[in-house]
Amino acid sequence: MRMIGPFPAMGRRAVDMGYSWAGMHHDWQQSDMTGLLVTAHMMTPYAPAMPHADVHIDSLLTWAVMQSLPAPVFFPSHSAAVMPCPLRLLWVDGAGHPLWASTPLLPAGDAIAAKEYWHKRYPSDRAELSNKRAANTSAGRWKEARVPMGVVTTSKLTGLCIGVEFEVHRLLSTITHIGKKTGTGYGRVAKWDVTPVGGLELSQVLSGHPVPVDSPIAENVTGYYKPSTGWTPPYWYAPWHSSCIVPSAQ
Amino acid sequence: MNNRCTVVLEAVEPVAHGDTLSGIDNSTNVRLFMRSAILYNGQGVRVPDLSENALRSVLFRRTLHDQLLRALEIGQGQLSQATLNLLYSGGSMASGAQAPTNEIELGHRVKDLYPSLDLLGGSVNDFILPRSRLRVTCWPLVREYASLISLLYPEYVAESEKVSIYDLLSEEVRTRGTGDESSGNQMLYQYEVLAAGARFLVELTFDEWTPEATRSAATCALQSWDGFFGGQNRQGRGRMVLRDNEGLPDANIYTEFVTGHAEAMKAGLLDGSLGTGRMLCV
Repeated sequence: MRMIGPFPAMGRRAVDMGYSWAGMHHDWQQSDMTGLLVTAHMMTPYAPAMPHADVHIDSLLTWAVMQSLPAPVFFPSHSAAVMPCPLRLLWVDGAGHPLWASTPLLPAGDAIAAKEYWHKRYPSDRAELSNKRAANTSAGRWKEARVPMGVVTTSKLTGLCIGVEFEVHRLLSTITHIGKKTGTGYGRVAKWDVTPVGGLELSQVLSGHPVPVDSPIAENVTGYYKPSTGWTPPYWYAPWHSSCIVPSAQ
Repeated sequence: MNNRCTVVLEAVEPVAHGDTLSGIDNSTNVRLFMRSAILYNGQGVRVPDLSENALRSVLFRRTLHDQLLRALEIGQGQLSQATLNLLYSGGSMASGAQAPTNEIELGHRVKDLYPSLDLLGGSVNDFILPRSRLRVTCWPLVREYASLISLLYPEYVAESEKVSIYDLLSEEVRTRGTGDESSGNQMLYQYEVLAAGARFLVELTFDEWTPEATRSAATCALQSWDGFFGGQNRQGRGRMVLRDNEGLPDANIYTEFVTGHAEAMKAGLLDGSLGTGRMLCV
């Protein structure tokens, strides 16, 4: 089995309870995996992160793995780490970063792309508490802002993956919000459905996911060449970006 | 641990849109509620809504920090602008900000000492604090949202089906005299209101690792809130009451935390270190 890494530091309590990243990775990769259709039933619009606008199933699962441990996880500052995931491991690059068998979640059925705004204001009505009462609210640090944000309203998001059905459902069920600005209610998921899909081909999964050109799998992917993009969680972490074949649909 | 609780906000006076500060409104236009896009009977529509960002500010951030400064006996002229802005508006990073290498550790130390910042997040001079613990979601209890509400809170569906958000929506027109020489110089101004009696389901979701004192701070905020939301408060608009708020965390845990850590909390706010030993808000 191919090993992945680097893993973050695990809290002592979790270690004492017998958790280990390598153990989780081993157990999941030895489990029966099946093709799965993942459905998120949405209650509020979600705000995709830009510029990598997709909400990836493998990102959600690795986040849920981290949250599900009985003690906090410690990341090195200014860096990222790899987490195990109950998905089929397709390839590992030279640095240990994994390519998981999953697609992004995309709207199923009707969807509205809209723009909403959030506002930031200097607390001028509490300025007397400050040692300086003057504040320029039209420029500089205290400038008030009206910030546009793209949101998508849809009743359902769906995606495909190949993984351990029970674990995928268990982990996704811990996720209540997806996308950006969850603190203000965006991306509220009412429930997750994870249903087996008979005869799901790997090519169907890859048709929705960037694949590094260094991977032999890339030969089987139809799409366009992108010099640098995210392909493994965390997708936003630019130092791990590489040249990929990106499916044409994206 | 239950990571979720709900309250219902019920308007006992009409609720008006509040933005009159940032200059983005043309004051000669009718002030409109924000609109949220939803799918209703398969059609995309934009319906009037309350901003959860505003709910976080008004119900939690402002209330908690007014209460905190009172408890710590911090008064006029004692805070830096950066600290004031962090407490009441979530903070802004300074120009040329460069995060220290131990920003995550510092951020967690700030959150450990100030449950209100742990709950709501913010940014200091050079970096953004680790993610806030609280997610606030709000749905008007109206027909347009009934099918969504049925997914999680079926007990509110029957109530929601009774009224459309557009039945609750109207405009108020006020006049403002601009002089005393004639009756013909009055200025009209208009704003949308949602009717008294309108109800809003507010869901609070806490992060999995939220400490007890942080959860408790949310309840403390709701109990201390002055009951006004939105605009035109000076003439009574936006007066609301909390309903169906059983099951909230115990508020005493937070007040006891503040009492027990008062000295360190006060020193950290006054010198801008926020208890870290490093000047984060100056």
